[in-house]
Amino acid sequence: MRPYPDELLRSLRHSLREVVIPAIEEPWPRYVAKAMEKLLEHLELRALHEERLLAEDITELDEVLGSLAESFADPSLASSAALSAWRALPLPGSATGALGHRGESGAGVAQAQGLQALNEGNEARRAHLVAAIEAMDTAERDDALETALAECRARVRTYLRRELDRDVLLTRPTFMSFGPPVARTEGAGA
Amino acid sequence: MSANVNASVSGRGGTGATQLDADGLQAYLRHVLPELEGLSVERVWRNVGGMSRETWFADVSWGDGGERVEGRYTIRLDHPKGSVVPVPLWWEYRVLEALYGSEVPVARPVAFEVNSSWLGRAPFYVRETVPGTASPSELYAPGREEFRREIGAQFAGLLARVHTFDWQASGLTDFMPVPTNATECATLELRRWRDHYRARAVDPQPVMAELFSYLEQNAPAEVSRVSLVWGDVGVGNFIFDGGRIVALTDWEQSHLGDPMKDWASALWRSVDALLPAEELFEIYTEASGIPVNSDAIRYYLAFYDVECVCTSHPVVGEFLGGRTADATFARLALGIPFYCQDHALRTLGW
Repeated sequence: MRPYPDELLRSLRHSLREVVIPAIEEPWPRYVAKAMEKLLEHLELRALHEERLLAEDITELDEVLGSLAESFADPSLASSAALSAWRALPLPGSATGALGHRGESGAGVAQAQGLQALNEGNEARRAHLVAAIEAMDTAERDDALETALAECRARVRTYLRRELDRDVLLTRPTFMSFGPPVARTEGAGA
Repeated sequence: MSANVNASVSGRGGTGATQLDADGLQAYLRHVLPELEGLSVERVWRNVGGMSRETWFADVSWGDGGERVEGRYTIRLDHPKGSVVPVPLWWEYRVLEALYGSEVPVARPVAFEVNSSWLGRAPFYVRETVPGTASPSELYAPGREEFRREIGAQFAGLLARVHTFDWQASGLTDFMPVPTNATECATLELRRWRDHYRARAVDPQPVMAELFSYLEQNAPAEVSRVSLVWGDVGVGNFIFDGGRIVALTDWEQSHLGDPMKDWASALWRSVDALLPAEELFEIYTEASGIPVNSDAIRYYLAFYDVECVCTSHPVVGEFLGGRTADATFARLALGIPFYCQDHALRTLGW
């Protein structure tokens, strides 16, 4: 149905910014209205990009989780009960089945699944990665495996940077900054 | 005139009432300030910004020798669903009590109240409002370069006073954990924040898991001294008036620890836009005798990011089941966590 959701959201934001906010004199209601404007801009970006970005994230999570599982199986890390316990955890499934969308494009995954299923699949994988990070913490502390796990840590951090780049693409309009005006270049300012 | 006629009522929504009963406030202020004859609350309004707790102002007047005298008080209380910081409201009140009258300028604490019959909500506390402004836009107004430099220099000197404050003689150790070694200056606080975060996190955040891991394993092994740490430092959290800083505010994240943590917070909040960092550090070290450790500041920059996520991300939980529908909370839950996670990763070069 037209107008599309992102077009409607843009229209709402425009009216709020150009008509409603300038007419509000009370500081707190004005602050609330400005927060609403930022949220509408965020929603507009979500309407345009969220499915694709979620699918990309799921693909990359599957890659990093798979690579960690392979690394943790290496004999050099086999002494760690924490890493073994993580490997024994059930892999998070997706709406379409077991772990692994390697080879599929993000857009393809998005078309195959609804947004809710994508979010659920993504959160399950993120939870699995959190468990892996905590297992590495334990292995480093209890089994002195810090050096042996350095490469795994690096892989996780590379993924985290990419994950956050995706999150930031959607959330930047809501950012709050406390710097001088010249630094407030991207939706900053409370 | 009835006190609540002029009261601003804000934020009605799914959270329940976020308003202040001006009649009840007038009765309470008359109770705790009996020396102010015929005290009348003329106006009550909510502060914009500062999301950790609700801050309200009350303009009052009272009789003094036939004249009406005007004044202003500040009221702090938790959000209806609680605070977003892992310390009770009395924490910041007791810090104000400890600091008031010392070389560290703070507002005079008036009364802490646990009885909800006055305002329909409790606890809350009242402090005098220090005349002036904390507005960054006033500081950053064009053409005020010299003014900013002067404020920056004063800020560095005041931070030196905070960090040399005699916390052992002040009663702060009655409720603040005391680090027993350098590493604990970071880890005591880190574990408190981590527990707070884990108890309230709504969805899994691998970035936070990795940052907690890094901060636990890389806590600075040396500190020059254990100091009172202000906690949430920088532009917006001090009041200035007529070219002079007259009060330091926002003590809810204060604790005992490494003074470099405050420099990280201050730089995070762009205090070096007032005066270059090197000049700030020179004034500070000259006044305090405390050397500046840039490695520790880098560590605490990421720490401060994590702390900010811990106070803002759990707000997401308030949207579950419709407990809140507040747009300002929604913006907070998105705008702070992702900004801070991004900043932390960049700080650490990830």
